[in-house]
Amino acid sequence: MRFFSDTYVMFKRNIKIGFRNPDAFGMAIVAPFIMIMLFGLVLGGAMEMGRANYVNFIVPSIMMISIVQSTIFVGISINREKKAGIVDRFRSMPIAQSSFLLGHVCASVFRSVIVVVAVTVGAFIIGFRPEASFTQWLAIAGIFLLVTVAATWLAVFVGLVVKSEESASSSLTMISLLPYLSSGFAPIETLPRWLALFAEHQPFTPVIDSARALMMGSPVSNSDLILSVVWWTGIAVVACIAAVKMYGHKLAK
Amino acid sequence: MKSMISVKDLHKYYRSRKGDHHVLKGVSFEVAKGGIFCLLGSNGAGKTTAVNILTTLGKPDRGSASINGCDVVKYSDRVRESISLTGQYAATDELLTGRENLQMIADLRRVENSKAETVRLLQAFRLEDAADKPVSDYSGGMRRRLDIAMTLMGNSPVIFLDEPTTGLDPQNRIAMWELIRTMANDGVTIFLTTQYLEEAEQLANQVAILHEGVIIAQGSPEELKQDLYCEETDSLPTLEDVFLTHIGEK
Ligand SMILES: Nc1ncnc2c1ncn2[C@@H]1O[C@H](COP(=O)(O)OP(=O)(O)OP(=O)(O)O)[C@@H](O)[C@H]1O
Ligand SMILES: [Mg+2]
Repeated sequence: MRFFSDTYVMFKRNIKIGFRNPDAFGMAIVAPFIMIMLFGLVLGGAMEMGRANYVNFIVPSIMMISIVQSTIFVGISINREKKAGIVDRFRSMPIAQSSFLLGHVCASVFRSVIVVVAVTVGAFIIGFRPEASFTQWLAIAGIFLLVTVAATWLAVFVGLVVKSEESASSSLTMISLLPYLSSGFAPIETLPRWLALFAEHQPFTPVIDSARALMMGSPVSNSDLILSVVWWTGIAVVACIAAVKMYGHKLAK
Repeated sequence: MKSMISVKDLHKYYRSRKGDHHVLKGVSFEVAKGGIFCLLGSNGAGKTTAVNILTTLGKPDRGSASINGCDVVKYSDRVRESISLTGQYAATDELLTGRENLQMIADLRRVENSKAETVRLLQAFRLEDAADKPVSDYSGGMRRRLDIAMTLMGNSPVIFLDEPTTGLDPQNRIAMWELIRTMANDGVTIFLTTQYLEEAEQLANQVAILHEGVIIAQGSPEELKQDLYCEETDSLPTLEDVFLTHIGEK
């Protein structure tokens, strides 16, 4: 079918381009690694819970940050291709019109998965000691994949909307900072009141809390799981619809 | 002969907070199969706007346009089957090689013998030596040639070229003209825009001069020259004179 083969051609194209950009890809892996070292090893010792526990504590939020950061590349790419004639060429060709965005999304999710796996391995080396069972790992993978897909569509939308590659990059970097203002680096009870209020109600917190519980093999709150799925399915659907609309109508000259 | 491109009373506005900008104000023309139609105009005349509408990228606000009998708005899918576009801005992937760029278009257009076609186009555009280098290593002219080669992949019956020779050296420009003539002889219909009068004179069998959203003169290069004949100089004017006279800057 036209739709599948066109999407596959686009996917292949973006995979090739992604891996020929070793700087962007390397940074996406190295930056989270450095963060774990900095937070876990440098600051962890000063924490009440102790260095070893603190590394375990921050891994979920570092994962969130690396997922969002690994989508910056797709936002920048789409913005550049919109301004060059590339999007125009594809839009004037007899191809499945959804294949361009979908090829980008699939390739970007693929890259993010590699990044997350690499960061997990890095975390192990530094002292991350999870106690999750196989099914708990599956649940973690499922939630992370959902967040990745949603963040990727968000990056695609941002890439289509903003005027320059710089603003694509800086808006997505802003989003990648949100996990800092969550339960990711310190228990919410220890935050100042106004910050705790924000942290409790932002979409990264339920994911971080569920992932942390799952990783440590401790009981997970159902409401966190439900909130995670509702938040991120919502973000994925809205961002996807907005991006497709933008591609279909707003880019019309 | 049957007309491949037919444009009737085309209007286009760009809306902004400062008010509407009326870019095309009733443009009409027909291009026969195998013809080379050249839309001539200065910066901001509306050439790219016209190309965008004809290639289904933009929608007209009034009037209609059809390619090979299919309306560009109603049957945009079918229009895309018969057209291929080289836009004004380069549409090549910098990190892919020339060969990979061509192969990708071949895959999307489902070209048979795509490997052989890729080689043929690389040769026709004298890019064999650079075929396996990433486009980021190409010169501006090489990029432009690859861009046009990508447009020719798949043998579409109607080709749109928005300022195709901008940035090419004289040698490559002449080679491009040759190629365009050969294609037209093979029955391909060509719509090109240019700011170079010489190019219109050399290539086109039909020229339209677009100025401030209206076509102020239209015809074969010879006809346009005849219009101006027997004025004080007693010689055939160049297309340049025609252009300047019509836009009233002479
Ligand atoms: N997307 C847009 N939004 C608003 N105005 C636009 C848009 N695109 C073009 N215009 C305006 O429409 C007019 C015609 O633009 P167009 O690109 O068609 O000119 P052109 O003849 O191709 O010029 P050039 O030779 O510089 O390429 C210009 O005044 C331009 O500012
Ligand atoms: Mg133009």
